[in-house]
Amino acid sequence: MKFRFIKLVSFIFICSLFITGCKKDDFKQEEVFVKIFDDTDGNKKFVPLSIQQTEDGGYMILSAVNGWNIFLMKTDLNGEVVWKNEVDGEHVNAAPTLIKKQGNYYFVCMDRVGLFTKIFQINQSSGSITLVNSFNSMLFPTAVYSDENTTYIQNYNRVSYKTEIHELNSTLTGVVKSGMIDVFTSVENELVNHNSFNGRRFPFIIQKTSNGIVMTGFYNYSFSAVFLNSNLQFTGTYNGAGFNGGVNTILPLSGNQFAIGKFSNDNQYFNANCTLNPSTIDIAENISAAGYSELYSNKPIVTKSIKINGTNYICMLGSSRNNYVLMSIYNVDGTLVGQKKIGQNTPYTIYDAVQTSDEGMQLLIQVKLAGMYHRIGLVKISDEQLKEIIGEE
Amino acid sequence: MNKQYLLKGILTSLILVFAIANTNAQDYYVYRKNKVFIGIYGGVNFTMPEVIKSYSVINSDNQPGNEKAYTEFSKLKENMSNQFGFYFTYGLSNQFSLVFKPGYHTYRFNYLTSYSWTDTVDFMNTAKEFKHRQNLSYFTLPVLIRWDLAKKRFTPFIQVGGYCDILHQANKSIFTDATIDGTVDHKNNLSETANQSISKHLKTFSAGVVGGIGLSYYAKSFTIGVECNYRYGLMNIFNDRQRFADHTGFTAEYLDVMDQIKLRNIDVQLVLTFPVHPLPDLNILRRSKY
Repeated sequence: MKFRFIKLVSFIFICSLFITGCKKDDFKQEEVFVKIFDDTDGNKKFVPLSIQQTEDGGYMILSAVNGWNIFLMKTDLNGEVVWKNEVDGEHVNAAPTLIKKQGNYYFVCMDRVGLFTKIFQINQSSGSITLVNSFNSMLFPTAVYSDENTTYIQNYNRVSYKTEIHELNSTLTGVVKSGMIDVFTSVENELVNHNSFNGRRFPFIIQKTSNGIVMTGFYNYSFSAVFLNSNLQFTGTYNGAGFNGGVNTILPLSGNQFAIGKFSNDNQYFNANCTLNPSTIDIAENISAAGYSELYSNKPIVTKSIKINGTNYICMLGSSRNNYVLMSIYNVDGTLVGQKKIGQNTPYTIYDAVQTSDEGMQLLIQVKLAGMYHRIGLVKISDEQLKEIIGEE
Repeated sequence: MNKQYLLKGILTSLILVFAIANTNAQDYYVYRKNKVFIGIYGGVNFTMPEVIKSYSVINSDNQPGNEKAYTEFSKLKENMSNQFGFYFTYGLSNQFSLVFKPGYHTYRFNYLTSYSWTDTVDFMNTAKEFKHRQNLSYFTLPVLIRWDLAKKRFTPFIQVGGYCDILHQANKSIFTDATIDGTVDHKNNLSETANQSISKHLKTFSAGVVGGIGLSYYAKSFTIGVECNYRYGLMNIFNDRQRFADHTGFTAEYLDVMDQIKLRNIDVQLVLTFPVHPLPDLNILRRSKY
């Protein structure tokens, strides 16, 4: 009896200690975190625009503040602020893409008085900015695309009622070639509301395709997806339904295959792999896509090509009417493989995302604190969580 | 200051225990060797979390209330919860016993956070104070060696050992009011309340060491006693991977994520046990020869 009792108790206790003690976890904090960048100044309103991961593992963030003013921030890899810079009010209306080129970071913005385009380089250590060039004839910049080799800027010419597209040289100091498409009507009111962040924001996008570019912008009395060849000459279009319908996200996959999101009034639709003809003249309504009734169509839709466990996937992010961000992950053939709802109760709005060096994702969101204070937020998703979403673990 | 209070309490209890034991001269001594006792226990406990690393959702230069303010020692009553379970002892000798007391132990701890915003455009100043209350319930498996300091019917004892906890369930309540004054009256109708399970944020297993003192009274066929133990958690209790997973939905709404903590806990409990072996010999008292 004596030994049986002692053995039983010892067995239970040693087993329990073994279970509790044997699991070693090599978790690092930078894998998963949520950060909200707050300010007690209730007058401030932040609208995040773009994020890039820096060489040191941290993040560079471009944001609008108090309307069209510009706010820059650098964080470390855990989301702790390294520096912040509220840019001089002479430079406003940043195009919603941070340019990363040869290890340097740039942003495109507008002169507050002259309404022309400027490009600034950001000092990674201090956050100070240096003017790279001003483009005096390039009014109302709306979108920018850049990779290591090419940079494009889209703008609206308020005099000729044309949407213009320009390819810049590698130093971002001059225009190599330009193209333009007719809007046929003034969209200045729409653009003023867009630029000043006081009204509807349009999803201006430029993407490079295998034989030119595709961009969303004003064309032919509508908000359209327009294809241009490598000489920036018009080849085809999918016209929107006036300004209340059209393509609001587009990611070239290969050849004529694209991941697209389109909107029609309040409705949002996704097709992660559809065939578009760059030389057709068609309407966006004719692109088949699945409806996502819970998503806002007038808030940014973000589409990224990502890798999970070495395999390519397409990630589409939208902001739901139920306050969460919906992350949908598709195979490259367009099959939905997993979804995740991020956030609840407090409104999250997605603005940008970037795949991180640890194969996770960093989401740039806007958070509405206490129901009214718009703040920048970061939600880091780990590679393990991405695997869970697609059912690999 | 907190440690001083604790030390004073323990010393006072020890003196009391020895005083009672020594003033009760009796004709019987307790025969514990090879005896098995089975019983039950129950009581209250007070938790003092030790923050290993603090975490915050908010990154702000000017939100001082963002720092969590854990309940001070002087208000430890707010962290009171309870525990109960079964009590087994086996007498290795007349003085030393092996004690196994599987039970159910609930830990409670609280902290406060507060935030404010000043809006001079819309004159919409906002203040929010949150009281965060956590209740963590574990199945607990403590094993102790108990040293009985006397053989008399009133016997003080000292015990030390270890325990491991297996999580059963955990929940969190957040009480809110709009005045930052270091307190949230959750009985007030003006305060809001939110409740959610936080089980997914916790590790399933935890372990630690435990030590305590007590006093037993041995009757002919049962014993009754009171004991006080200090549980020193050795393991971090929150799962770092789940911290920001926001299973509760509180991350942005209440700007809350859990710190990494280890649990420190004082329990006070009543113990009632019965001898079970050998069955014909239930009387655990023997007449003293002296």
